[in-house]
Amino acid sequence: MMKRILGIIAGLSLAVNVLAGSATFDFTDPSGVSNLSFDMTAPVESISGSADGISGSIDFDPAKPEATNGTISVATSSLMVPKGKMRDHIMGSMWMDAKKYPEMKFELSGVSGLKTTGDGVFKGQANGTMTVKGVAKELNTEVTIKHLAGKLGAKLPGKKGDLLVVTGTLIVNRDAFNINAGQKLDKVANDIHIRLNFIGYSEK
Amino acid sequence: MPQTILRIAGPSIFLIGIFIWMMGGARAGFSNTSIVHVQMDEITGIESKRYEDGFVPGIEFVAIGFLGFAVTLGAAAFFENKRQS
Repeated sequence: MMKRILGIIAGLSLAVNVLAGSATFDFTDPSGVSNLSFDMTAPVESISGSADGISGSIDFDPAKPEATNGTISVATSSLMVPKGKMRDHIMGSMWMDAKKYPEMKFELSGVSGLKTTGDGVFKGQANGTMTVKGVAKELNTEVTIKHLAGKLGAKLPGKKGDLLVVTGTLIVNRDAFNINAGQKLDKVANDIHIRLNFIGYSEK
Repeated sequence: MPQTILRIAGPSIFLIGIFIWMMGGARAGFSNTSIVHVQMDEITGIESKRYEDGFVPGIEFVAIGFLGFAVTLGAAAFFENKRQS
């Protein structure tokens, strides 16, 4: 009897997910929690910073997570490091050239090799194109997509809907994106370790 | 007389430099012009950083303190030699 009840609950849960279908998640985070953080090794101390100017949207269907697609942008001017002068250098034309290239973009075309690791939690390779300083490169990186069904109200009181949490890590090369390419390699590493921590909101 | 003051001032400058550096958390890095607060969002489990204007002294204060120590001790020795000659 108990097994039958659990089976019905599981079936209903699946049916709800399937019926829910694809939803568009807005990644402009009003709570300011979404961020991209980065680390670059340097001889004296590592350069660590983050950016919180996240925007964009992603279409996600819990029944077809592999078809997840959309675009997420990060405002270059939102890049922060704890040293004011260092930030001025980063915004300059040699490094990120924030005036000429006001945003970095990741266009997600799909997720391959997906594995379900928990209730509404999927792990796989995000496939897409990353554009930084006007240079677009194909990129495949491991991501975790967490679908928090019905949790929108926990972040935005009074609203009904879902949250989509996208996290992942990737290593990009300064040279590949013309970020002070070939310069100051003795002082700042060529590899930039990036952590993605994005939250999407979908109101129903 | 000046050399006595300088002999006391030298180690004091060095100790003040070390004290300021320790107040900043005794980090290996240089001074920061922002204070970083790391926060964890309970709902999503996402960690984020908040930057607040503020000065966090770094290791250069130890170097400045040591330089001050060396200069004042050198000056004390100079005055001592001058007095004896």
